[in-house]
Order: sequence, then structure tokens, then C-alpha cells
Amino acid sequence: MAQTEHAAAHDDHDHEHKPHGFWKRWVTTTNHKDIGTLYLVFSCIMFFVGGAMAMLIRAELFKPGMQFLDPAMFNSLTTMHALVMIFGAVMPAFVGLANWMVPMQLGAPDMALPRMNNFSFWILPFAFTLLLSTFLVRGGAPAGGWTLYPPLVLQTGDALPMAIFAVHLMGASSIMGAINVIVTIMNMRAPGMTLLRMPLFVWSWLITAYLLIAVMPVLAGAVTMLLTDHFFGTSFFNAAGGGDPVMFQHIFWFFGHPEVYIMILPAFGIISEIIPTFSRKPLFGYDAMVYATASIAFLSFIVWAHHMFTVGMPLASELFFMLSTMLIAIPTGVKVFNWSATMWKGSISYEPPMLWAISFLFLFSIGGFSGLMLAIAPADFQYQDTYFVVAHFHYVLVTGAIFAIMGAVYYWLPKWTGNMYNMTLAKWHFWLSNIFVNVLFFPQHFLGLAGMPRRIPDYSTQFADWNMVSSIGGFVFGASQILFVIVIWQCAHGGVSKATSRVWEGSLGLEWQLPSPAPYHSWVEAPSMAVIEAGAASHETHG
Amino acid sequence: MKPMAEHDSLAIDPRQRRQARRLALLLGAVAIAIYISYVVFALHHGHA
Repeated sequence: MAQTEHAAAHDDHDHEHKPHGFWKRWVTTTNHKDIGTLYLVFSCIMFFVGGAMAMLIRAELFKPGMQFLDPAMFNSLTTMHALVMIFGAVMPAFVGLANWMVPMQLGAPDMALPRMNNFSFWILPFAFTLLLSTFLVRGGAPAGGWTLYPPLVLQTGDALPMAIFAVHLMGASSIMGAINVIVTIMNMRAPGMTLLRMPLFVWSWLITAYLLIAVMPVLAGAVTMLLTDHFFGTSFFNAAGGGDPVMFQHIFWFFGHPEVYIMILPAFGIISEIIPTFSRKPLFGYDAMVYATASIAFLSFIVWAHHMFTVGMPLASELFFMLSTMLIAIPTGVKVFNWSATMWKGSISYEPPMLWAISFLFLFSIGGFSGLMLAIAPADFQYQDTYFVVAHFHYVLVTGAIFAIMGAVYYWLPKWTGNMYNMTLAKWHFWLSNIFVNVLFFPQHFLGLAGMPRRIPDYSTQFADWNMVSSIGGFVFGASQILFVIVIWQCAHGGVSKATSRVWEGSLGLEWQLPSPAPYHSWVEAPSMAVIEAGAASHETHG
Repeated sequence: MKPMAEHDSLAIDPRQRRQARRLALLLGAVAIAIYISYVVFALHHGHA
């Protein structure tokens, strides 16, 4: 075990002005750690809600023929699964991690705008209550897909304004969260914490926050126009009134593609924290990692139409979007190379966070490669709307974003709770997830290439075998996530031993200079230059 | 303004707080401007 051997004092910080009582501690809290915990707990609940929908979808697809869902409910489940997982599970998890870690990694006492931080979080439970309650209204939950394409989505029943208002609320929450992250990073860094000394997780979040501010209003604009088309007689997207339904797709994907990077850039930051720690080497090519992240963010704005090659567009446009999409492989390749080079000749140990990070490297790369295949416009005409696309984006978002979140939780959990978790159980969670996520999603490549369409509750018998395999993988992958909750629960309630301040032998960042659990109010006084320099040693290879 | 908790970071240096609020307002204004500009763009393009 790489846990530091020396017995560090295990401080009990209960005396540090934690508010007492549920209302003051959790509802009116302005503490970044408490708000981070709220985000993470909320995200975990949504992960299981979205996961339950995925189980129903896979149960329906277990064999050909209609089993127990009607087609409208099936379509609602695919739509809501996506909305819940994207806006309720992945994004809040990253915001929760940012809340916990950004101030601690910068030497700041809290987020810059703590009340807005509280407001950003507490919008979310209302937004998702509203969204999920659409299952109960006339016409059922939205069923036109998470992309909300008109004119299909305008056939939604009473749920349409509810879903649109929920999307507006999520957008407002995300924008406020992003503003808070940017202002914290720009204004609250400890003296001496220069931009190029910041940990990669902070850098990736700074860039992500700018992406959020740039594109969440675009989604809000698009859904507002849907609303006015439906209720106020406008024809933004109504061809009969002189509007253009394809314009919605352009506007949606101008948001939607950067949104993909909003969900993966913080994951890149996490992996850049974990790999140096467990390789016991500084990160290879820190500056290049920062520039690569910024390049990916820039490119994410000029590739959107690769999601809609089949709508029909000029050949020059197809070529432009095909080639610009392929360009993204360059900075992404820089990152994968640098992570591999960090591990090269490192003294690697395989604790759970490192297992998740290594798995991320392999499996996210599979998602990246299938993305390159989809970027080839003529080939995309074959892949469009098949299970190949489903396999691709689940490799990116599950084995990419969610695996990084799992790794982050296993990495920082001892710092948060002051306790070490059960390593055996955590490794069981990793191996079961890692094996069965591939059983779940890899066969979907075959199904897609064989022509199975997505968002269909029934299918031809030729697809039966791989669907059954995929469903079995899904059930075991889903069930193994219960281990994750057990590990966290046990750790929060005493764990197997007390954690030291550094927790991991190779950990060097500023957060590891604090005791475990991190004090309720950390860095009340800014860290000294010596502490900052020691923290930056994990990535500082330049002069 | 009374801080919500004794150690609340709202008690940061007033100059820093002013800078933080200015930057936050600027970013908020940018977000609102993007929202409005997209609807205006669609109004011109989409014959609403």
C-alpha cells in the first residue's frame, strides 16, 4: 500500500465552527466543502435514477419483441436517461469536485461567491423534480430524444413547458457555477500560485467554465425558441411558417458539441492528477497539457455539424466539419501521449484511483477512435442513428467521464473523510465495472455496424444475441455500482483506518498539505511560498 | 453586509471582493448577451 507510513496527526476539526442542525449545515451553507458534498450526493442519486432507467431499457432490449414497456415509454426512458445522466449526474459531479478541490488546490479559503454557490446547487433539486415529474403528466415525459429536435419534440404533451423550464434552470445553475469557478481561479489564488503553477484539474476546470458560459445560453436560446414556437405562434423552426427545423440542429449542436467537452475536460484534469501521484513522477509536459486542453476547447466550437452530416449540406461544409473534427485527435493525442510518458519508467502502484485512470486511458481511447470513424462523413452516412453511435458516446461518457469521476472519488475520499476505505471492496468495484462495462457497450459496435437503429424498443432477430450479451453486461455493471456506495458509506463512517495528511505516497499538490479530513475552513491564511512550491512539484518540470 | 458564518469567505479583503463581483457581473452579462444574440440571429434567419 502506498499510503504514507508515518503516523500523521489525525485532526478532529469539529470545533471549527461547523454550523449545527440540518438546515444551517446543508440548506443555507456557504461552505465550499459542504456544497461540494451536496453536489456529489445529488449526482450519485441522479446516477442511480438514470441507471434505473438504463436497466429498464436494457431489460426491454434483452430479447426481440415487446416485453413490458410500450414504445412511448421506451422513448421517454431513453430521452430522460440522457437528460438525467448528462445534466444530473456527470455535470453536477464535476461541479462538486470543483467545489471541494479548486479552493484547496489554489490555497483559497472558499469559492469567491459562496452565496451564489449555494443558490447554484439548490436550483438543481427543483429542476430535476420538475423534469422527473413529467412522467406523471398527460402525454408522458419528453420522448423525442435529449436533442429535443423539432418538429418531433413539439408533439410532447403537457411535459414540454416543464422540460423546457427544467433545462433553463439547469442552464442557470451551470452558468452560475461556471462564473464562480472562473472568479475563484482569477481572484482567489494564494500569492505565488501563478497560472502555470495551478494543478491540471484547476486548469481544465477554468477552460470548462469558459465553455459553459459560452454555450449554455445557446441551449437556453434554442429551447426558448421551441417554447415560443409551441405556445406563441412563432415559426423559428416551423417550415410551414417560413422557419427552418435544421436551424435548430445547428444551434443545438453549437451547444451540444462543446457540452461533450464540458463533460470530458475536467476528467482529463483528474487523470492528470492521479497518474503522476501513482507513477511517483512529475506530470510529463505540463505546459503542453494546458495548451492541448485549450486547443480542444477551441476546436469544440468549429465541429458541431459532424452530428448532422445526413441533413444534407454542401460538400465543402462536410469536408470542413470532417477535417476540423479529425484535428481534435492531435491535442487529444498529446494528452494520451503525455499520460503514457508520465507512467514511463515510473514507480507505479495500482491503488483504486490508478486502476480507474489506466482503464480510462484504454477505454476512452476506444471511444476516441470510434469518434474518428464517425467523423468520416461518407462513413457516417452508414453509422448515423445506429448502435455504433450509442457505443461510441458511452465509451466517451461512461468509461471516460464517469470512470474519471470514480477515480477522483477514490483519490480524494480519504482527504474528505479522514478515513481510508476498504481497498479490497474498491478493487472488486473496479474490476466488476471494468469487465462488465465492456460486455455492455462493446457488442453495441457490432450491432451498429450490422445496422441496428438506436431509440427502437424492438428489433430484428438477427440482433438478438449481442443484445442479450449487452443487457447482461448492463445488469452486472449496474449492480456493481452498489459496491461504490458501500465503499463510500463505510469510509464516511470510520473506514478501515485513519488517513494521513498526504494519504498517497506520491501525492504532492496543495490539498495534501492539509490534514485529513480537510479542516472545515482550510487556508484561512494563505499557504507560504515553500508550501506552494512543494505542491507544484507534482507537475512543475519547467524552469 | 453581515457574513452568513463567522469564517465565511465573504469576509475577504474588500478590494478583492469588488474585483470578484465585477468579474462575476461581466461574465453574467456575457452569458445574457449570448442568449439574446442567438434569439436575434434566429429571428433574422428563421422568419419568426
